[in-house]
Amino acid sequence: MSQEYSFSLPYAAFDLELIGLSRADIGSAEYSEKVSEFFTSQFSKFGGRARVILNDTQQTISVTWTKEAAFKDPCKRALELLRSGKIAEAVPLLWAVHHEKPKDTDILYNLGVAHSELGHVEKAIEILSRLVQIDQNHVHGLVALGVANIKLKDLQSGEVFLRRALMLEPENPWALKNLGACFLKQGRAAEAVPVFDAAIKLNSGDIQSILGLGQALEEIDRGQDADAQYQKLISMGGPDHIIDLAKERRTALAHKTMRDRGSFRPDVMMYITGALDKFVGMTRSQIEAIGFEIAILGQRGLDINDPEQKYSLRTLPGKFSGIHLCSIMYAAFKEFAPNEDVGIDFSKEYQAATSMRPR
Amino acid sequence: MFACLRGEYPALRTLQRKSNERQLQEAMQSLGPSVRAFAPQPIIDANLSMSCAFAKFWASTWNEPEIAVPFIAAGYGKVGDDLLRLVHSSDPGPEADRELVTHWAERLNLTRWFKTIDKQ
Repeated sequence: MSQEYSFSLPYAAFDLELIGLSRADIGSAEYSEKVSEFFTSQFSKFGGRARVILNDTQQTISVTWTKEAAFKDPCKRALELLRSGKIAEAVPLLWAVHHEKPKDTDILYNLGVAHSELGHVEKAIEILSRLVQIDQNHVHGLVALGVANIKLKDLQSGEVFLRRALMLEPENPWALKNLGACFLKQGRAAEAVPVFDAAIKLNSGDIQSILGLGQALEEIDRGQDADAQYQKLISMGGPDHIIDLAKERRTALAHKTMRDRGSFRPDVMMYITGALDKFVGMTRSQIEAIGFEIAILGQRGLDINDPEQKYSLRTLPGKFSGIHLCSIMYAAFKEFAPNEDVGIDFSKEYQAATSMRPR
Repeated sequence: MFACLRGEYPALRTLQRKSNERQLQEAMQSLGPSVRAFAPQPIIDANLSMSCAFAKFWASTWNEPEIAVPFIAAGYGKVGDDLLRLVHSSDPGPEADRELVTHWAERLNLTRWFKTIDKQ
């Protein structure tokens, strides 16, 4: 025989007399176990060239077997699927292998991580807990269990597992990064800083740890150090959502720094006065266009601590510094959306500027 | 007939095997949910029972019991055995074919679905 045979059978169509169960047991863990055992024993001589998959979602048993030597091992196939990001497809295969080798820690680990990635966090915790019971020193398993607990918002358990992983492998960057994040989520920024630092020393390109370090430094009022981390991250590049977050934090930090420096900014008042002068001959829609253009520019990050006139607008001629643009935007929004929070408070400067204007 | 062909024409065995393998794989597809979704249960049962007998015959002939496993797992093992017994207990010649068909129909509750008529 060289042909590959395959068939699928709905859960409900399996002959329950063969495994001594009743209809009420269909789909239970015992059902899966006994069905797997049945097929495994029937196809035992085929070894890795037989594959039994129980798909709980579709309630279907799929079986494939062949005598072909080139038939792909189900474990290898599952790992290939995981590597190519086809996690949902890999899960039934991993379960099939797990039923054959219930104590294989690599399979348990991959199965747990796959479920965690798919958002089945409680299932992931159940599987990963089984893994660390079998092998208490499985560092990756402990880290994954820590991460899954954090996802479930059980931060204390998450911390315990991550610390256990770090006891075994103090320089595990994945454990460090996640412990840092766990501290941050618990409001323990001071403890997060050295942990993120250690993670970055081990992997200088770890942008998530750099972002985490920036956030932790911000929380302990080391704004300049935080800004340096965000700048580093932006210059390194990376996924848009992380870069955007770094830019947002830079803008927020700049606003905070500016406010902290003094209660009143005469330069801002002057910029607002200038803007109001310009608005006199403009229509409402022209003013809106200016306001929105600066707001959009601001989302990409405006450096309001740098006096250099490095920005230009499509809606207004000339070159502007970051603080100048923010002042124009504030004045513009006051014209057409006075109650809108533009993310920066120039109310004192605006009030001063308008009070000096002829009525 | 299968055994006869296999016994008397060994040169055709490879060809016959390929054909049977293909038929078996096609028969296994009838176990799946897609076929069950549109075919009435009595037809599925009759069809899979006969497929099981067919699979059991070749499983035994080729000494590859796994070929019948899909049908056994679906609960057609016993009826497959019954149908095979009817084959083994009937006269192997073609003149007994009608009788065998009738016996299979009785076992599968299909007797009301057809009738045999004399050759005109």
